[in-house]
Amino acid sequence: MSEGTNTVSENPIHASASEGSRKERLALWADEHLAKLLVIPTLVLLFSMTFYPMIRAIEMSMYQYTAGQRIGFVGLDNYVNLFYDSTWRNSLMVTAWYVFLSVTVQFVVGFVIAVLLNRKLKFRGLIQTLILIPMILAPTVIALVWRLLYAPGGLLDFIFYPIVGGNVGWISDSSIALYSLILTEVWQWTPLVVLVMLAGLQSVPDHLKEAAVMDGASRLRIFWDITLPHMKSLIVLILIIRVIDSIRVFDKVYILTRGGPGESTNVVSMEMYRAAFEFTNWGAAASMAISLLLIVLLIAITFVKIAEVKF
Amino acid sequence: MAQTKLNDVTKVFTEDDGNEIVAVDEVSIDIDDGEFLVLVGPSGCGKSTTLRMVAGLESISSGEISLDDRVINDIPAKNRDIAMVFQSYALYPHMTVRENMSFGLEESTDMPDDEIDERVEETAEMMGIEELLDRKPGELSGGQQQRVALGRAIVRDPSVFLMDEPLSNLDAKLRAEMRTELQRLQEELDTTTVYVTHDQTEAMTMGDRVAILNDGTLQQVGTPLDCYHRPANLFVAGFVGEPSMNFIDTDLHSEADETILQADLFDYSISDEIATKVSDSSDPVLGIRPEDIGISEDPPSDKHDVAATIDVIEPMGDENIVYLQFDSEDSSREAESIIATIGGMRQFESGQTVTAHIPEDAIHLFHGETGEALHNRRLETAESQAPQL
Repeated sequence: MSEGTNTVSENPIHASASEGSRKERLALWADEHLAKLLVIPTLVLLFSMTFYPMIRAIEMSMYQYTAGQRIGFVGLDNYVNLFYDSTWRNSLMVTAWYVFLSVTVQFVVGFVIAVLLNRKLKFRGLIQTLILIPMILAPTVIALVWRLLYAPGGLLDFIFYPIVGGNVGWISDSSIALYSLILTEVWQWTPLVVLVMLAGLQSVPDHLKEAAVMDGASRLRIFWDITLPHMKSLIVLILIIRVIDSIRVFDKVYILTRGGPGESTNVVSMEMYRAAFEFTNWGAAASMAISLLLIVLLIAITFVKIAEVKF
Repeated sequence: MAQTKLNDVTKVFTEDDGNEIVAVDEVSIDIDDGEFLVLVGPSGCGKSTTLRMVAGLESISSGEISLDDRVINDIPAKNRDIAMVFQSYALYPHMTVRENMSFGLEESTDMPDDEIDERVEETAEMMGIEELLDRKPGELSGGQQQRVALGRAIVRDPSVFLMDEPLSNLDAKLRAEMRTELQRLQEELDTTTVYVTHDQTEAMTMGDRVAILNDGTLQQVGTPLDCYHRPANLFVAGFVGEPSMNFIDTDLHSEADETILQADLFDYSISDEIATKVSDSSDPVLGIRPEDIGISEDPPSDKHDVAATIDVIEPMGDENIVYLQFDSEDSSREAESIIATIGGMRQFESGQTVTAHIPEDAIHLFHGETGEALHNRRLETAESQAPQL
């Protein structure tokens, strides 16, 4: 009996001890691997939404399609064809000009506004908030608003009537349409440049500027030799973001001009859209996408290399 | 090199809500050519603001600052021929040490490049940083950055150096090293230097003279020892010296043949000579430096002996810091305590009853209301006991 009670009383103790150690082991394991576990959802998302489509796109770019049907493997033919495709080459040129002009203007205007705002101003907070409005509007809304502005007899025509004496084909004149798109792009994204550059200007330590004042530097010199170098990485960052983002411009073009008139605003993403959804030539569209990806990568790497920036 | 004069210099800051804050209030100091003047005081006392006004980084609300009799109030910083060393060093991070040092010469002089190079190399050698010339500040240690910051000021050969707590970012050992080095450099260059610090060790050891500020007003200007032994007021007496001077509130009582300072827990009789000086104040504050208090195990025998109990002893090695409590017959009254320092080899225990000797030669007396010094300790070399402002 005594033995029996012993075993009975021992067992629960033993069981609970092993349960405890199992819990402990679990806790230890979780402790060690928690970080990895927490990263898994992001990795899954990244793979399913980015890497998998990219690999599929590379695969697609090596097949020929007719009427949306895969016909056969053509290797790099789609890429070779792009070289001889004048429409594609034109769209590259249109995009390059669009990106160069809009980013340059955004940057210069944004920087100037940031410098003007970087001082004690009455209502600075209000001005800053107002400036941000274009950035927080939905891109489609922006494009639709500007379509109204550009419409024949619209507000812009009304304003410019005394100067030009007639309607301007803001988005219907092939020599003007691209610049109208650039104007919209500049209007939408200058605020971001202002925001980032203002943060950069405010991050320059006062004592550096004061040291330069004591060293006898003029205001221009301080700006050029102290402030600008201090903001170098931020400048490179904002340029990369804006260049990459405007290379991919689609919404504005689609809503305002559909790439027209003619091919005057036919940017690469518009051309891609046409190839895929109008001509259902998925192979060609995919090869364009991959080419674009390489171009963007090249530009980003060059930027970072030129500026010797470490992020 | 230049004589620098501050005449009733005042700085008023206006806050956003219209409140005016007087940061510096009618400060007047004459700084001699080649002098090392230390501006010292607790944080927020206006010492940095004063320095920044001399530098030209801050406008002057009223008063005048002049360099060699030339009023510089409205002269921009870059034309004042003044170099400044900042607490944070303020080295330009994207420039090499060489570029950092030559920047000022390039901007403020029309010196040819080869001469600038030569000057930079010479100064770098003097500062022992010639090997660092092609590195960027980010690759240097704190001490090295500090040397570069000094070098950058020295290379310009200005008429005045301004230093805003230049050593406070260094560790204790390096700080002590740089302290002596700075003094050596200043003597070598013989350039007028205004040095701001909150560290009284720096103030005592480095300056030819010390200017002590509190709440924007100048408390005293004098040699470090003058400020230590002949403080102009309670603030200076308490600020200079570590551990600081003991203060005991007293009431003045004149009896038939003697004058007595009555503290809460003991009486202290003073001579007629001192009594006439303190007659202005009915409740003078008695001040005594910790090192002037004698402690013995013998029972009180002198009229300046007070019985006390040792509360805590902090052995520092070279000396013991002793916290004394005066014995209270009335247990309801809070015991008054004072600090004494005695030789490190002497042995006492906490709780021990001892006799504290407060020599009359060493006492200071301050006005009970204004805090002004009425009587300072007797110095063997001092001709006059009167405090000099």
